[in-house]
Amino acid sequence: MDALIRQVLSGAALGGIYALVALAVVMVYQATRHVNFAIGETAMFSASVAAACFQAAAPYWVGLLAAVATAFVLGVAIERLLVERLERASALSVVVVMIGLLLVFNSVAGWLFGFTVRPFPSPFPPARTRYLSPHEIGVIAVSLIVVVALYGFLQHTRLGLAMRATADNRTSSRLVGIRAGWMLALGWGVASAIAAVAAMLVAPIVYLEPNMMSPVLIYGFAAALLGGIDSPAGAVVGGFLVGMFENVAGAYLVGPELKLVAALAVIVAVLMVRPAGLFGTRPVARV
Amino acid sequence: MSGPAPTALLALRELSAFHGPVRALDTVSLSLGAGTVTALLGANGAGKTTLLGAICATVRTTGEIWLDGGRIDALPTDAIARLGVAHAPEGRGTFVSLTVEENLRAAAYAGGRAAEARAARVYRLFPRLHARRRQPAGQLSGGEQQMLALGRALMTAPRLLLLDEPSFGLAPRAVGQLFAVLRAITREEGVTTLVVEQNAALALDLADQASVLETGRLVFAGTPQGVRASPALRRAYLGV
Repeated sequence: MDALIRQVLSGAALGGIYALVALAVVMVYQATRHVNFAIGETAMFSASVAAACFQAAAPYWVGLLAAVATAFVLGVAIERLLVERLERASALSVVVVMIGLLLVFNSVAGWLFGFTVRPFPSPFPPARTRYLSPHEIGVIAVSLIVVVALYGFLQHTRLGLAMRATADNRTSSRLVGIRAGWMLALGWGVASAIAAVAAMLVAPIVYLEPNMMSPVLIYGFAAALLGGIDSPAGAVVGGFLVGMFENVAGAYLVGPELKLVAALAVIVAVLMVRPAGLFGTRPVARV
Repeated sequence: MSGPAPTALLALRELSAFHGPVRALDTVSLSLGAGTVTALLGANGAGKTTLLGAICATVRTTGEIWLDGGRIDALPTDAIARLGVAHAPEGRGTFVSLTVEENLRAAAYAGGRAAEARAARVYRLFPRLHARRRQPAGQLSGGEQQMLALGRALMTAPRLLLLDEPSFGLAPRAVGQLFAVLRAITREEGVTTLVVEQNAALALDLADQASVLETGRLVFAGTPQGVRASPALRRAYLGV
């Protein structure tokens, strides 16, 4: 029983990371109806910037700030310089650009920071515990804090309201004087920064290297679709569900080699019954 | 109207507007005096909605648009809105996923401080909106959505109010209420208004200026009395 509890809880820790990635995907999708496939790689790139800071003997919080700032700027820049210009292009063009960016950031990160697998520090001290390591507890806490902070920002600040208004109806937001273009860019920036936090949290577990985020991104997308691609709450719930199921399935049902397959099979099954996801309101029409 | 001609708040000079390659508005020149209410009449497809869109830069234009002595035709939509041009668009364009209250506050985003007082005033004008302030706008009835669109326009403390078919799809009683509020806003506060309306009799009643568009060209600019006095215009737009 203890072992099962441990598997579920440590799955929840991974789930917190997936939840953050899923939330980032959903935020971008809600605002611009695009799927940002590059979000895992910009996050990995940002974590690599943090690693460079650590190598220069910077304290943890400096590296974290550097990573979040890098990701934010990258997100804003991608929206302003690329996505905005493709506003009238087909959704497929944006998909191609995003996959292109994924490869670009993957290669540039390898070129700048190296392709070797490197350890990455956790801000939480190592300790022996019964169920969860301090890092896992920290991951769950940080992901919940990020979710609550984002909710508070969107629901209770003027800027958050303007961002929601822009996501709801771009033309109307412009007609009341909101700088819609910058609101969308800001949304991409914040989403990108959230994914960077996920990368900072996962790197101590999987170690830092250019392909570190690929499985995380797949689980994150799966979580977003499971929860409903237009539902931020769904993304968070989906993330935790996927993480816990993945871990339990890996330990008891199919073994670690097939746990990705098992998790995705369950998600496909859920989506066949509920195409909009658990909390989604409309079926996905584009992409 | 008696007295000297009021100074123009909005002036259009040789304004043309395009939907893709199609010229929907053809070299229209028109002035709106400060504090006046102008009814814009015309058949479906005459270019009325396009003209409002042209002022707000939501369609491509050539020609000049002057607001209070400054050219605005090269500005983006949001910058024009921040200069005090409020547009309640056709189909209302409310933020359906936001609550009524959030719709109003989002509209005051650019205006900043006075949001509370303005919202209180909108609720005074439309008590229905106050009763529904915590509901998503998407759940409102057509009449309530129209009230919200107008209320949202008022939240920006506009100098120029552009109204597209405010009576569209409303029950007669709701139309009466809405126009009573419009009359109050325009008469008492002197907000310069350009109103597009299918119901020409209603619009002319509210207005002190009238303009008529036919297939993208301005064919009449004068007073409501002028429209009523012209047998051709009367037949075409008032049906009598």
